[in-house]
Amino acid sequence: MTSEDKISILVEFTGGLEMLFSDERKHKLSVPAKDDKGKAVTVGWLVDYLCEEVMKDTRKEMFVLDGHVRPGILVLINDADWELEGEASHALQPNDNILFVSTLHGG
Amino acid sequence: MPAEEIKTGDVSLTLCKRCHDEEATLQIRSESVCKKCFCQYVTTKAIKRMETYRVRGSTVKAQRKLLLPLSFGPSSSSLLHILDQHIEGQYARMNRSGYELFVVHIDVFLDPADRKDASELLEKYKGRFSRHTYSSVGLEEALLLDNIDWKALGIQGIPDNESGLPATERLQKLLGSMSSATSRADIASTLLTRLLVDVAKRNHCESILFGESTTRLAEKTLTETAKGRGFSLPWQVSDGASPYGIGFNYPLRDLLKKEIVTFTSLTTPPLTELVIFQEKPSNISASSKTTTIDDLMAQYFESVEENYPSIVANVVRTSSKLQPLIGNDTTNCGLCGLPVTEGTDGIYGWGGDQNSDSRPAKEDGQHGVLCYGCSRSING
Amino acid sequence: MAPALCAICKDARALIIRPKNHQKLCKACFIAIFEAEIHHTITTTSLFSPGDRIAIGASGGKDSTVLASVLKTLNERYNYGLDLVLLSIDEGIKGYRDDSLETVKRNAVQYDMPLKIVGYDELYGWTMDQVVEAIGKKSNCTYCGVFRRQALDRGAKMLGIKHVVTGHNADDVAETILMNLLRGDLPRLARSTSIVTGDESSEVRRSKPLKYAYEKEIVLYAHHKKLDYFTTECLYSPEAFRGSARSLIKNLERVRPSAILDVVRSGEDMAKLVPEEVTGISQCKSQKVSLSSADGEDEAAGGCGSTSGRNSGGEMADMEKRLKEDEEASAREIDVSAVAATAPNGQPHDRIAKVEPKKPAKQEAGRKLTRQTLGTCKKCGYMSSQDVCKACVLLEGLNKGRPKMEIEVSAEDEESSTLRREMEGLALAAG
Repeated sequence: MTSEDKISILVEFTGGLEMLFSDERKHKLSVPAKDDKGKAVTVGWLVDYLCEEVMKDTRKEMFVLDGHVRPGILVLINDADWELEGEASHALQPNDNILFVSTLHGG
Repeated sequence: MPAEEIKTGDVSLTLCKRCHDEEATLQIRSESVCKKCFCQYVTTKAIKRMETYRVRGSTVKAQRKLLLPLSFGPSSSSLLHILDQHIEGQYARMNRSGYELFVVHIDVFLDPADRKDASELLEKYKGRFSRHTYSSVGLEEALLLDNIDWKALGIQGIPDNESGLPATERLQKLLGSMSSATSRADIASTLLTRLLVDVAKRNHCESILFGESTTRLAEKTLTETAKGRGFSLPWQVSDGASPYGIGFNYPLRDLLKKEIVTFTSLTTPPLTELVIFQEKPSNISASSKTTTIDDLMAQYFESVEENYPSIVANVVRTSSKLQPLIGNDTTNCGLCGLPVTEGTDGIYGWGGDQNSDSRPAKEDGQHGVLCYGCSRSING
Repeated sequence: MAPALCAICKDARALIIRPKNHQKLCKACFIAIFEAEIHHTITTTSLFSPGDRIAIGASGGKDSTVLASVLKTLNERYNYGLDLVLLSIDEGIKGYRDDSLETVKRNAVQYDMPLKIVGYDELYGWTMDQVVEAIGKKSNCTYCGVFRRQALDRGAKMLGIKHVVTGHNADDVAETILMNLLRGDLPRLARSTSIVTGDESSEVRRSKPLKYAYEKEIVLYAHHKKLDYFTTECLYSPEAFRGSARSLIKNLERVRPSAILDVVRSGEDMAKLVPEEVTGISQCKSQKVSLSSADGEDEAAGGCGSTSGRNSGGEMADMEKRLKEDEEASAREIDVSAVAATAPNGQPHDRIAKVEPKKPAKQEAGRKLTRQTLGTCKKCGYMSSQDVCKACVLLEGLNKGRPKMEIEVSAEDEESSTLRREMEGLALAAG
């Protein structure tokens, strides 16, 4: 796979989720455009990728439960609720901004 | 109190805390008991709840007829078994019984293959508990109930009785029009209750004996709350007269679900071959489109029952203390039939509906009364 | 996927899908309707009168920040004539509250509102850091909770303000309703849904203008309005997702988004079904199988989780233990009576409260249904259902060096963190 096969996206974590991702709110990522089956990568793929490649914290269940983003965590794709964008099946586009906001934390 | 132990060779046996005779292999809450005492416990708990229906005096009155809805699950099957023995005991002692049972199975599956399986299974029950009258009714018969205000539902495109479509298909269409799995399950169970009441009345039954366990009633308390049906709890978890003019009783209300499941394997012969066991709710995911609120609560209480059984019982004790509103003007919900004191406009026009423009325009004459819970499932 | 258009303006791209009715809205229409609905709640409940001085319990978190922002907007838009003040509590936890207080200080500038910060040290002579130093981390949440319950009222009183608004949202209210059912606490169930607690005669009233607002929408409002808020976990309470009732609520929302509002509606309806002998007057509470450690006020505001439900997320094992003792005691009674009389004792109807079998006197004293009138604490003069309020009792212990109350506290309240952990395990298993 060559570098042309990568797309760059911006992933953000707020509402307390940044604690699971090295206390960094913004993560500029360059991800493969295709998954290992040759399909265009989706937000669902990204969630797995974040768990495996980006998250250092061991408490994965605070981000993902039963293979889905934990209930109580909002996902915005370019500022739109991901339910409006096909949820996990949304195919990542170059320069997409994917925001994960936890509503579970206190303030 | 340390458990009594006797040594038989190398094996140490724990004796039953109740009879001090047999080996304790089971648990009632934190007490180790033998099989016999366990069964006795389950039976006694259920029979105590049947006090109202004991044989009274010496005058021979017409026998009281009670409807027992049989779902083939562990609870209703156990209840049938226990009451069958109870009645047999009454006959043996007094040559008569305080009540007779009318056992009804409601077919909730519409597939003919499922129906065939159900009728074969019902035959097995008839063979085993032959003293009682049995009947089997398809859920689609609820569509014929004239005490449901079908117009109030305001569902477009649902073919009516005159459409010529088979009732099962019409029911399928009705349930299919609901916006979520929870709404489908909610409306199906509402129709089931109304159908049971109708069958009971047509067959002159004075009460319905539901097989619900403590655990199930606790689940129901939270499920109904989560479906906006909190107002209906006094009639859903308490023994006594229902607003339908018929009694609702829950003879297994003092037993945990796991105790009843254990019981099904201890009867002679075991009930297990007759019982359809539900899949364990442990693997349910909130993210699945087919998961319902009922499923979530079943899963939640499965773990509460495991770790905190007394809390399960306490939830039921608590919700049973809620009292129906009396003396107020009420109208009955067009679908579930329960009395609604205020807020007859369903999910509209209350504090949480802060945006009165959200109510979809309704055609004249379609504005029936719906309770919040039914309205949520229909309009939600 | 073709972008959906806003259901209201039918012009801009929809960015929000509302949990209560699946309505798809653009950013501008969402912000407008969110504000209009809070306005609707405020006006239909006659929450405020012109000239009122209102203290906003401000923690720097999302709920209170959104509350402050919306109240400022509505006060100006609809001429409520309110004098709005931010009131923050400083528990005195280094590295936790000082950061969020910085947020509140910025909010005060952004919203042009006066800010009053009241410290535990000022109110009680102890910061939470000092409390932890004295008693360890074991039961500090109890102290913090008891102190916080009074702190907002005391702070308001210092400012001469009679009405405190808090950021409790629909998710919080729904969680409290479910928790009260699990706890078997009918008196609190009856009270927890009302938008205002306390009446004209109370020194300080509390209200929650966001009680019908989804937490999800509050977070989205804060996001789209780019509000400056702070998120953190209390250093002394590291459990991230407190209490299983919270997880349950979020799961319900995932399965059927209207469920949160539906629980609130159920709670309002059930409040009317709680028998009067249980509710009594509004401040009366039942201690029977009640787990909550609250003294007088139910809800904490600001600070740890800023919600009532979360603070009481644990407690399950303690309750289980107590109920079990009860059951065992009554089982012994039943055994005896069963031997004495073959005729079974009449089965109590469940709609009538069961007559509890006799228990040891000591246990009984704490258990029976008690009707309490709210009085004032002999020591500090603040609202209390006991002669001496719980804060003063705890303080007395602290001031004497070794908390005398520790044993009682641990029996009653201290389990919370262990329980929370257990409940969290439960939640995860159930998740």
